[in-house]
Formats: sequence, structure tokens, C-alpha cells
Amino acid sequence: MTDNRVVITGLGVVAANGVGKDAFWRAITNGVSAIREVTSFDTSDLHTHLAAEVLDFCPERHIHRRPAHSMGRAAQLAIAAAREALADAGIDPQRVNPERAGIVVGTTQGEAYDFEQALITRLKEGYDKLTTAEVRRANHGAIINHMAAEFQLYGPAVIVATACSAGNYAVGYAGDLIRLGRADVVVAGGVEPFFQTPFVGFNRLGAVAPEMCQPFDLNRKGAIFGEGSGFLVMESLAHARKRGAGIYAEFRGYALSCDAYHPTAPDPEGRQAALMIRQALSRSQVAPESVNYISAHGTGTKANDRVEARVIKDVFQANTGRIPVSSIKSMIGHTMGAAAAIEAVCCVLAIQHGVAPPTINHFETDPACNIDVVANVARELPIRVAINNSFAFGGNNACTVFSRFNQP
Amino acid sequence: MKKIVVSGIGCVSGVGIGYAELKANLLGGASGVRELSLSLMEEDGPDRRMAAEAPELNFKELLPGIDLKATDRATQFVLLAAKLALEHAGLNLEQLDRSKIAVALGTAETGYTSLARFYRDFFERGAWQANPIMFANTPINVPAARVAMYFGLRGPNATISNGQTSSLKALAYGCDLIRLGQADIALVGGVESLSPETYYAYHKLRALTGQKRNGGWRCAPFDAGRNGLALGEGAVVLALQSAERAEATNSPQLIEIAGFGSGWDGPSRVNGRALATAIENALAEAQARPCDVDLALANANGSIAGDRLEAKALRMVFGSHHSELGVSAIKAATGEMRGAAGAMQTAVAAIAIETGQIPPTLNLRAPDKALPPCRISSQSLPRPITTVLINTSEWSADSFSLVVRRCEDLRG
Repeated sequence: MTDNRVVITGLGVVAANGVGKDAFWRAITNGVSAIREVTSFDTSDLHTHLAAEVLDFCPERHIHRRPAHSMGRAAQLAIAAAREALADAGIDPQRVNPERAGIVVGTTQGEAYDFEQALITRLKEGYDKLTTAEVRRANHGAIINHMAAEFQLYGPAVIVATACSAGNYAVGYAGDLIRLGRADVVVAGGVEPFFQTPFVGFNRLGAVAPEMCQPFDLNRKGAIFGEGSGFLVMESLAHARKRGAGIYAEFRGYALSCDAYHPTAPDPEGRQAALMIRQALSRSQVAPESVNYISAHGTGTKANDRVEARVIKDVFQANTGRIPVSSIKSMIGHTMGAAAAIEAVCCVLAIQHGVAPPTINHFETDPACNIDVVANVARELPIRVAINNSFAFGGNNACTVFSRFNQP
Repeated sequence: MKKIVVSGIGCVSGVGIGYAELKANLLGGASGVRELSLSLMEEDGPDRRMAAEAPELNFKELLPGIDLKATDRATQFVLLAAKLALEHAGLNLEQLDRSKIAVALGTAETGYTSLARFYRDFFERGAWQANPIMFANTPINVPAARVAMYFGLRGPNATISNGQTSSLKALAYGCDLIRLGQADIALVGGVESLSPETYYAYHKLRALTGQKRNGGWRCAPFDAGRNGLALGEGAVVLALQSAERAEATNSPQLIEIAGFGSGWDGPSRVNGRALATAIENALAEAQARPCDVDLALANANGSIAGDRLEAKALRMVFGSHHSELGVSAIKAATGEMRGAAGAMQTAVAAIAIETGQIPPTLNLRAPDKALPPCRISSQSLPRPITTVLINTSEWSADSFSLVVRRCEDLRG
């Protein structure tokens, strides 16, 4: 079995409450929210005005080989987190086989922030004023092109665009690429810039909370959106051993499913989601009883949280009350295609530090969500197995499973 | 490794709807590239507007129960392509475990059309006038999710958005899902829809035919006098399953998916090296030698620089040892279908293998001298074809190739 094992050896994060994994983990475990008034556009004609923007991000600090302005914001955010993860893992492009080092990126809308900027130019100044640089920045496909060039890693590279579960799809596929022998090491994660279209769109759908994001709380009023990126360096155990890498945790497995129910709403019974979590556990050879942390999708919308709690109870039955559950979206907002990846980083850090991060703004648990929410304050406890849920637009469900790394 | 075969093919394109029509039109030398219908275009953009637009279709009739108001063009294309692929494969969903059917689609620009319309709406009329249904179509994964909803497919549901390489990477993803036991059947392919924004983007990049070399409108891949590409749109869906399952269920086995390979130009940035590496890796995975390849279905679309790099890549791999190599670039017929292009080339590979014809490279007068000695023509050429190479390349850097084979050979 050692042949097949995939381990996590590096982590990187750009989130609104912390750029860099250490700053992020400090903020997350201290319950620091980064949700504030939107700065990047005018929200005055909408009912809500809050988001979790990454305000202190300086792309030039993270991008060395190409001019930062030659790429879209998604590529910039992705390079920053992936650079940190690769450095953290001690991956030196000169000392790994670059053709066996892959890149997998999850996203909902890719470079749509830059597409929107180009639209604004066109609508305000006319087609003639649009520049070729603006057009090039809006190409999703360029994200991994810029990443490969930046890190000089030339293995299999894919952008998986499966909405808000994309980060989990990316981590899962990275594990497959390693297990299928196509790569020794993969930097995998997710990225999403914040922009106006989804902010207006989710406002129109009535999905945005006006004051705070309160996952699983009785009085929750919706999601609040954010931006960022999270990346993990995943590699075969053999490869990690050979280069003497430090190991954070083990990636055990994952599963995917689709509700095939509604474009924007989850199946109220969560049938496919429950089936999928069971599959993820069995593929990971993990008994439901041994799970001791659940990183929830927990968007803070009425529908998601109710269905998710139902699914958790359905899968874990009598054990449900003994498994702490948290949604860090209460602090960094819903970062869409980056969410599951940042939450995967969080699961790994939770295992490493033995700390379950809090769900802030949680005052009164919704009786329909009677699960063990880590309310407001982080909880110290040994975490052996953590699972990471994501339930996306389009009914795309994905769940990844991480465990403490035990020497064989 | 488990053998994966294509059991059915469905397509919507400017050059044909469904496998049979595509086959007849493509081999007959028809092109879908024509003057664009004005409904797609707006006033302030470029004035010459040619592309391989999909024909007007009665989706209400073709797709019973479809919600035409809630679905965008890309979704409509792909639902029809998926339906045609299922029919072609003889798969009856009523008799299948639909939690074991996956969807994996590639697309480069889907979502931008709806995003532009939604943004324009709230920019011009205010946030409360914008249509939220349009917003629901902005995520890149909407067409794949809609396929799942329309057909009740509850397996993994993936969308790959990787520019030109998108649909071949979606094919690879679908094969892996089957190999790893996450699905029994995978509907894979690609989709792209034309919009003013994408059209103007390529115009702005001066990538369209007629914008350079004053040659006028002539999309002529690999021609020495080529002057740019023509865009296309549509959807191609292939029904994949293991050869074992196809055998057991007596399903058609059109072609075998033999091997994928990816390639980058790397720090040395040798021209053509990215694609040559992808081709070599795909051949290695397929356990094939360069001389086994009967036909290369090229990424070439008429781009002055891009076609040159592909010609060099073909020369690097096939050298002068394989003058019998067939080469065909179909994008003068289908238009540049971007995220759906690789799936379209795969569909055409099945046509070439079935009919023993090298498909025409339209508008070819004098082949680019960078090409290795090969058989390429503006008309169909007869030739027994067993092994086909398919190339895709995103701006000549991120390259991804596929080798497919005739199925009978496997049975001996």
C-alpha cells in the first residue's frame, strides 16, 4: 500500500484575513473576520455591501519571471499561494523531474474578473480602446501557462472549473495523477478573484447576507463572498521520502457526485451528497467513526446549511454529536473556486496543530442543523481524520479526506 | 491499464449535426465558415464577420422538456450533442445506473457570453433590471451541470477550462474516472458558443483571417499563404466506456483511446518543442512508434505562427522517415472551436478510420515548407487508417495530444 500513498508536503494561502499560511492560520484560529465594505466597486444600489476582499496583495512580490500585469488576477493569486506551497515543501525545480511535476487548478470563473474589466473598458470607452493585453488577461487557459513558466514545472497541468467544489476536484485529481503514475508531485488548489458580476448576481438571487455570515445559525441570512487562493503540494510517499521532505498529513482519497437536480439549489434531501461522503470514506479506507473534524461547505444560506447538516447526520448517525464541524466562510467569505482548496489547507493545518477552527457569528444553532458546530472559539483536540465537504452550483458535490500521517 | 473505447459520437457544428452528417459534409469538402447572422453581433465591432456558426435549430422539438429561457446556446448545443452521442452508442438511460455515468466537458470561453449580457444589463439599466437567470449561466460548469440535470446523470461532473486543450484534457479526465472505477460510462467532449465578445477578442488579437498579409478572407491551415483563423462553435460529445464493458453489452466500439501526452515548451523555448513533447508522450502511452501513425489531425487553424510551430513539431517527431504520414487540418471546415476543438478532431478521427479517407484540408494551395514530407490535400485522399494522432496546443505552449486506434486490431 505504501506505493499508493499520497502525502501533503507544502501549503500556501492567500485569504482576506491572511496572506501566507502562518498569518492565515493565526487569523483563522483567533476568529478574525476579514468581511468588510466592498472597496473595488460601488454597491450603493444593492441591498448588501460586504465582502472579503484581499486588500494587501502585491502581485509583484510573488511573481518573478513575467510582468504581473501580463496576467489576470486569478493567475496572480494562484502563483502567490502556489509559490508559498512549493517553497514550504522545499521543491526546487532543478532537483525534481519537471516533466513529472504537475499543476491542477480549480476555479469557478477563472479570469472573469479581467473579462469584466475588459467589458468595462468596452462599454465606457468603446471597442477601439480595448487593448490586446486586456484581452489576453481574460483567457482562463493562461492561468496554468503562467504558473508552469513561473515555477518551471512541466508535468500534467489542468484547470478544473467545477464551480464551488473546484478546489476539491483539483485536489482529488492531483491524487489520481500521482496514483496513476503520471506525476511524482503536483501542486494543486483553487483560485477565485472577487468581482462585480457574481456580487450583483447573488444579490439578485437573494443569497447574500447583509451583516455577517453565520453558518448553521438559526438566524443566518445568506453567504458573503470573498476571494483568494489555496494550494497544497501533494506527492507520492516514495517521492517525499526520497527527497527527505517533511510531511504534514496524508491525502486519503475523495469522491464526487452530481445532484442532477437544480442549477443553483441543492437537492433538499442531499441524497447524492450523502452517498458521495460514504464513498469518499470507503475509498479512503476510513471508518465513519474515526472522523474527528468536518470542514463544512457551510455557506450560511438557509438551503445549503440545512441540507449539509442533514447529510452529515445521515452519514455519521449516532456519532454526529462527537464530530466538531466548522465553516471558515464565516471569516473569509465564500471564495468560490478557491473555497474547497483553502479549506483543504485548513484541514491539514487542523490535523497538524490539533485545533479545530471556529465558526464565528454563531449564536444559536438552528435546530434543523443540530450538529456540533465549533461556535466562535477554536477548540483544541487531537484530529486524526478530517473531511472537507463542498457542494457547488450545478449540484457538483465533492469530498476529500485527510489523515494524520502514520509511518508504515 | 483498462482499455477505453468510444461507443458513440454526437455533434452540433457549422459543418454538420450528428455523426453521419458531419462525415458526409466533412469528407465532401463542405465548410461551415460563412457570414455571421447579425443576431450574434453588435454595432460597434469589426465589420467583416465570418465564422462557422451552428445552424438555427429547433431545440424545443429536438430536446423535449428543455427550458429555452433558462439555458444558453452553449448548453443547448451540448444537450443535443449528448443526446445524439447516447443514441449513436445505443445507450438506453432507463436501463443504466445513472449514478455511474460521469460527464466531463472542455470549454475555453463558455460563461463569458452570459456574463457579458448580464453585466451589460446592469451596467446600462441598473442592478435590479438585470436578469438573474442570465447570471445563473455565468459559471463555466453550467453546460456540464445541465447535461447531468437533463439526463439525470449523478456521477462525477467535471468541466475543464484550458483553452485549446480543454476537450482533450476532458477526454483524459473521463478515461481516468473509468479506470479508477468512479464511473462506468463517461460523456466527454467540449462546447463553445460564439458571442460578440469572443469574436471581438480574436479580432483585437489580429488572429482572424483577412487581418494580416492583405490576403482577404481565406482560412487556409498549413497553406504557405495563410493569413489567420476563422472561429467556430458547437459541441461534440463522445460516449466512453471500457472495452470490456462495451464487449459485454454489445455496444459499438468506434475507436480505442490509446494514449495521451502533455508537453510544454520549457525554459529553452525551442519552437515546436512543446507540441513535439506532447506527441512523443502520447505515442509512448499508446505504445506506438511514429511510423505507426497513419494520420495526424492537426491543431492548425490558419494562424501564421501557430501552424508553423505545429509543422516544426511534426517534423521533429516524424522527420523525413515517414512520407506516407497523412496530415489533415479540419478547422477551415469546422472553424476554430477552441475548447471543443480536440473533441471535434477525435470525432473526425473516427470518421477517418471508418471510411479510410484522409479528410480534406480546405483552401490548401501550397503546403508550408516547414511541414515534413506527408500526404496533405484540399480533397479527401483514400488510405487505410488504423492509428490517428490528434494535436491541441494553447498558444503553442501548453500542448496536449491523443493517439486513437481502430478497435478491430485489438481483437486480433
